[in-house]
This record gives sequence, C-alpha cells and structure tokens, in this order.
Amino acid sequence: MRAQVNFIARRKKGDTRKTKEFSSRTLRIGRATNQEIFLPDIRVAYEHAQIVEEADNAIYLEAKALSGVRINDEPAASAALAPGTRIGVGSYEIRVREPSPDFDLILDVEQVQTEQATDEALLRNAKIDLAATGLSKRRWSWILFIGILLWFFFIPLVGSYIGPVQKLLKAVPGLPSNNVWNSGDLAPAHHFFQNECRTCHQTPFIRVKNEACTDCHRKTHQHADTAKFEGMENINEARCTSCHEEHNGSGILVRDDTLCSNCHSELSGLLGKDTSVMDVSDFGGGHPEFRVSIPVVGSKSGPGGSVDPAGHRVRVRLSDAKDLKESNTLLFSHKAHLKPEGVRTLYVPKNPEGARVQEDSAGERKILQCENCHVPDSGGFRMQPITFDRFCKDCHRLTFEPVDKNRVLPHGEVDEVVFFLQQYYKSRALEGGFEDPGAPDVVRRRRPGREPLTQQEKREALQWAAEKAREITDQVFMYRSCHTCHNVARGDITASSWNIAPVRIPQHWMPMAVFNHAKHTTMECLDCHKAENSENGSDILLTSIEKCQGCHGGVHDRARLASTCIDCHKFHIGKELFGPDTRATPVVAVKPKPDAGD
Amino acid sequence: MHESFLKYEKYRYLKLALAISLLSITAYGLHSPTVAPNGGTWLGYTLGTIGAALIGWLLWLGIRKRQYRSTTGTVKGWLSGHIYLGTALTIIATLHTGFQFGWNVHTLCYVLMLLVIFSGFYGLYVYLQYPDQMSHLRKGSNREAMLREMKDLDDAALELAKELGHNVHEVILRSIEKSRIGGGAWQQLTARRLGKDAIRGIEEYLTSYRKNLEENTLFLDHRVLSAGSASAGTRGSEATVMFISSALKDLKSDKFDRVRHLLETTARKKTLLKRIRRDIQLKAILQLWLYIHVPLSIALLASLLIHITSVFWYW
Repeated sequence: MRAQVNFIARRKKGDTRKTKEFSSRTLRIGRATNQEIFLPDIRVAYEHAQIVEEADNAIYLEAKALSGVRINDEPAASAALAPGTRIGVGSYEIRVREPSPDFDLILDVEQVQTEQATDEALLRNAKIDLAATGLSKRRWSWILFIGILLWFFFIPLVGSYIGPVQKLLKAVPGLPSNNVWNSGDLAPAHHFFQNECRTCHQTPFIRVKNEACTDCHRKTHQHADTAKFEGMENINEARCTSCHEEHNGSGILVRDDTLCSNCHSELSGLLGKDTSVMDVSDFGGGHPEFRVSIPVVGSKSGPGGSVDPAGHRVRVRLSDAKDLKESNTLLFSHKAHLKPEGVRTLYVPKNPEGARVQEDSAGERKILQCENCHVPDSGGFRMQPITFDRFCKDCHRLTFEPVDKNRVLPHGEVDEVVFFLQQYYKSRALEGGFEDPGAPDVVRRRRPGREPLTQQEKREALQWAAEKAREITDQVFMYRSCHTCHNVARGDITASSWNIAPVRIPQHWMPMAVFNHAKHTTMECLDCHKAENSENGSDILLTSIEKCQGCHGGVHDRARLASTCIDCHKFHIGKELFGPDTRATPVVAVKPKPDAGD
Repeated sequence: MHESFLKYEKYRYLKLALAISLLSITAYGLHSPTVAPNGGTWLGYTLGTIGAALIGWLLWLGIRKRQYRSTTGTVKGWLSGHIYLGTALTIIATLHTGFQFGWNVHTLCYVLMLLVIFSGFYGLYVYLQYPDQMSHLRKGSNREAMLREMKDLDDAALELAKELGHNVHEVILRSIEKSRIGGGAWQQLTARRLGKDAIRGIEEYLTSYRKNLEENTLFLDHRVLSAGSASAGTRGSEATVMFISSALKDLKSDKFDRVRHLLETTARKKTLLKRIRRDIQLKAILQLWLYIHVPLSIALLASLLIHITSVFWYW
C-alpha cells in the first residue's frame, strides 16, 4: 500500500500542509511518536488505531484503543475505508480522499477542534435537547395537516364527483368515501338511498330543499291551505327539514307539541276572532271539548253547529247538548239490546196486526255484549261497519208470509223488495196449493200433476198475486219488517213507492283525530260509550274530553300519561282540512239512497 | 411563575370558563329538541360557533407568544386564558356533539380536540412539577456549567491518567468516549445510559489498576490487598474503591496519589453524569408534550375546517 498523508494546520495567516508518504501494509495512528500518523492529543491513545491493507487490496481501519474511533461521527471499532470516509480520533479528523495513480490511499489529517472549539462543540453538538433529535413540531404539524385534508376532504371530494372513484372508495374498506362526512345514521326509511348524498343534498352549500323531499313524498300536504292562511309564514315558509331533522339515527323525524302550540295557543290572535278554530295549548288543560262530525243527511233541518263548506257534515261540540243529535234515522235502542236479562232471539209475526209472540225456542234468551255487533277492524283502530246481514238478521228475520216462515225478504233496495214480493206471490199463485184464506180457489187448489191452467184461471191467479204482493209490500214497509227499524214514508202507492230515510252510521266521529280502540282495551266499552240507557238511535254515545283527561295529561304531565298533539292529530292535513276526509270513509251508507224522493 | 399564570388577575379566566361552562350546561339542560340532541339545532349551532371561535383563539396563542411587540394583553394572561378556556372547551364541544359519535370526520375532530386538550393538561402538570425538580437538581448551577464541569473532569482525568501508563489512559479515554450524554429522543427521555458506562469504566479501571498493583508489589502489603479483595466480593465495587482508596492514601506515593485523584475525579464524574442525564430527561419531558400538543392542534385545525366545510356543503 502506498499512502500519502497530508497534515493540515489551519492558521489565521494561512494553512500549512505537511505531506508524508509511506509504503507499508499498515499505518498506525496514535499519540506515540513512533506512529506513522502521529496525533499529539491527550484524548488519543499511544497506539490508537491502525490502517491495514487486506489481501484483497481493501483497506480497513481497526481501532486498537478500547475507546474506538468515530467513523463519520458514529462510534466504531473498525471500518472499511472509502473515499469520503471521515475518521475521528480525539480532536483530529482524518479524511479519506480519492486515490491517485501514485497512491492507493490519500489521507488529510487535521485537528478540527481546538480546546475552545471542543467546548463549544460539546455544548452545541451534543444531542441534549429534543429539538436536536430530529423531532420536529413543524414537520409533524404539516404532515398531519396535509394528511388529514387529503384523506378526509380531497379524496372523498374527488370521489363524490367521479363515479368510478366513488365506487372504489366505497367498495374498499378503510378508504375514505364521502361517508366520512356523514354526521349520523339516517332514519330507517331512508336507508335504501343512504349512499346517494345528492338525493337530498342537491346543491353544495344550499340547504336541503323541500322539493328533495316531495320528489318522493308527493302526497304529503301542507299543514293548512296556504292560500287561506297566507299570513302564516312560519307554516307556509317552513322547510321540511326544520321539523324533520335527518342524520340523527333511527329516531323518528317528527317534532312534538312545541311547534303546534306555538301557533295554536293563540290562533284567535293570528286568524282573527271569528275563526272557528279554537285555541289549544296542551291536552291536559288547554284543549277545548271535542267536536263530533255529524253527517248532514237529507233535508237541511239537521242539528245546529258549524257546517263544513262542502255541506257534508256538521261539527257539534259534545258540550252542546241542544244540537247533539245524530242525523241518523235508524230506530234503535241500545238499552233494549243491552237488557241485562238478554234479548229473545227469534221472532216471527203471527199475523200482520197481532202482537209478536215467541214461537219456538221458548225462553231462550241471549245476553248481548257490545262486541256482538261492534267488531274491531283488523288494525284495531275502529269498528267494522254495522250491516244488517251480518249483525241483525239472525234475530230480526225478515219473514213476511205466515204460511211460509222460511222465506225472508232481501235487505237492501226498495225496488228489490217490491220485485221480490211480486215474483214470490206470482210464483205461488201459479203453483197453486197456497193456503191463504183470502185467496181464490185456483191459488189454494193443489195441482198434483201440474196440470196447466186455463187463460182465465191464470189471469185470476195473477191478479190475486199482484194484489197480495201490493198488500204485503205495504205492510212490510209501513208496519212490519222495515218499519221496525226504519222511518218509511209512503210515496205514490200505485207506483209501489216507499221512501226509507237513509241510515248513516259514522265510522269516524272525529275525522281530524286518530283514536285507537286497540290501545284502550283495558277499558270497558261502556266506560266511554254510555249505551246502556240510550233508547234513541240519534243519541251520540261519545264521551267528553274530561274522561280522556282522567288518564291523559299534557306533554309535561307526570301524574298522567303525557300525551302530545300528534298522538291524536296529524300535521300534514293540508287541503283536506275542511274538505271530505279521503283518508278514511267517514260515513257508511247502509242504505245509500239519501235524497230519493226529496 | 406557575402560580401566577393560574391565578392571573384573580382567576379572571377561571371565572370566565366556569361561567361559559355553566351557561352551556344550563342551556343544554333546558333545551329539548324533539329529535335527538345534535349539532344542527339552534343550540348546537351556537355551541359549535363558540367552540370553533375558542379553538381559533386557542390556536392563536402559538402566534401571539411569538409577537413580542404585541400589546394585546400579556402572554401570561393569554396563557391563563388558554388553560381555562381550553378546559371549558371540553364541555362546550361535548354538548355540541349532543353525544352523537360515529366513524366520521366530525368525531375525528372531537377526538383530536380532546387529545390536544388532555396533552395540554399533561403539559400543565409537567410545568407545575418539573421546573422545581430541575432547579433542585441543578443546585444553582445550569446545564452549561455542568457540561463544562464534566469536560473539566474529563480533561483532568486524562491528564492524571497520562502519567499512569497508557493502559490507564486508554481505560479513561474509553470511559469518556462511551459515557455519552443525551442522544435520541428515547435515550433522552429514559436516561437509559444512566451511570452504567461510568460504573463500567471504574470497574475496568480497577481491574487494570489491580494489575498495576501486582506489578508494583513492593509498595503494597499483601494483607491489605487480600482484605480489599474480600470486601469487593461482599460489599460491592464502590466499597472496594473506597477501601482501596483509603488504603492507598496512606502510601503517600506520588503515583498512588494520582490514582486517588483519578478515582475521585471518576466518582465525581459519575455523580455529575447522573445529574446531567436526569436534567436532560426532565428537560425532555418538559418539552415532549409540546411535540404532541402542537402537531395535534394543527391536525385539529385541519379536521375542524373539514368538519365545518362538510356540514355546510351538505347543509
């Protein structure tokens, strides 16, 4: 190994350089004067290290002193030397330079630390402060700031505008789609489009518009007729989302009473004193007596109260005893049907004028319960319609002919009954063998072989049949079967005309409210519907609000069941506020022929 | 110092923070939104606005404390407000959430905020605890003086060792080279090299010194030597050092006098080294929380910007 060692000393007046050349396998470094590279520093051992050429011409440095050396500022015991390597021994630095053709190894040796410089370096360079360790607040701040912006804003943003990217972001778990902006779960009904933010959020930085809701909720109406109540900005200009706040998990989207009572507690102030809508603040104490909706039937001489503009029904307050009469014309006594000893089950007329007597099943009585006739519908909210065929006919048999007690009249149209009776007697007259004392012989005679009648006999039989039918029809309508329950007026008798006053049994007495019978099964029917003493079909057997208030209190009631407005009332009633209630059939026309003959 | 910023202006900011917190809690208690409480009700927006404004102001401390010419309050006052209002922020922001959390950027923002605040609590704790410990440790000195003292001890030890043959010199040299102070963040925080190298240096020195003793037996009584060895086995190396040291003291040899000096120097260095490392450790702990507090608060700023933007983007 041929080596050149340059000893450099820097002075103020200029650097000095002393060059030594060696040609040997080893170069020794140390404080001893016999060392090739002599370093007069107390922090250097006599024989501190040596540079050795190995068999493969590689040049190594081996520390002989236990304290070792510093290779490129790191403590080391040995190292391969390459150009650029810096060897630190005590206050000296030995730099390896590029070899030249003449020398395999060229070293610069320089004392880099004077006594004073050593002190300063010790203080300055020692890693005795966290700031010196490479930890950096600024760097980490930038990394976190940019990282979070990228991950939680720009990547989801790109995704929300570029479909394939969005697909990828949503498909791969852990990637940030715009789901990271989702502040909470949607209501369950909206889950099916929960990944389509723009279904509702159509324009950035613009609040969700009502149209976004009504695109699907087409049949949801405003609360009130916006034309009629145009001054009510807080209703007419309310946004769907001011009440229906989404992204709040699976809770319902509907607000409670505060919104209702904000306006309804002082409606007279808002709408003027002549409004028919009364102030309501709270069910517990600030709710007016119920108003029942009574169908307007036939003549206008119905009960008083406010008639709705369409003239379909009249609303009467339950406290208004004078007007509280049902327009129903059915002759019906709840009291008679609810007799504690029961009712007799079968009646057959003995003769048209005579008293009814119990003929068979003597003494058999049936104690009727409310539910024998009032059967809840499948939802349990209301009762199924009362029909004759279903509830009445088992007891009230529409027999009409004493000699033929199995034959009953059809219940329904007047014409049908008339036609039925005409056909019945015609058929019996032509058949013969009809045991009626007033009938001609041709009718009473039995004709075993069905011998044909002469024209004269036929004419006689049919004439009798027509008269008999007319007589029985009039009896049935005016004195017997129909008359038992219905108000019947005789019209033009030659034209076989009878007018039966229409019967309307309301299905829903308070169509502006929702009442669920199924939720009140702990009560007895008679607790609310005082039927046991009602003898008149026009009695309205509904209970006053006081009865409800026995159990139901206002929103903040703690002693009773706290009940909100929307427990009973719907908000989105809109245009139907005073129109026909299309949400339920309010009136069942048992005999839907209201104005015939009037 | 620490008392004064907590008690600044008779707890002005503590009172302010308590007032804001109580007001927020009361409003939250009285507020009864019909859907689940959330950041989108009027109270939610109000609390959110207050919270965001507070975060902005709290972050501004990082700028204000560098504005030496600024006259908007004193830095001490700002720090006092920073601590108390930052604490109140936990309540305001928690109420703003309406206790609705999820895997989203909004909850990320909240969690980062809590991390920043709690790292701040830790910072407050170390600022209340460690400066006292440090000044107690430094005993009126400072770190620079301690480092210089160590350097002087090293130089003195080398000077002493130079006369005792190159073996001794090399042992001392090695001990000096190996007994590094500071280092990476972990080494600073744990003071992991505490004392070990110094002890090893002394032990190695003793070994080498015993060799020297054996080579120079004419100075030494065999019985003293064996007694020293016996005690080394039972009572530890330090006792041995003391014993030998005292034994050598009587010998009044110039060389052994040097050895005694060298031992004393090494023992002093060992103690000093321990103190410096503990000092570095305390200083590092004192600084470390800021390396968490500051980057996290910038991360909070990023997530807060996204939180606000995304909420109004999808208004």
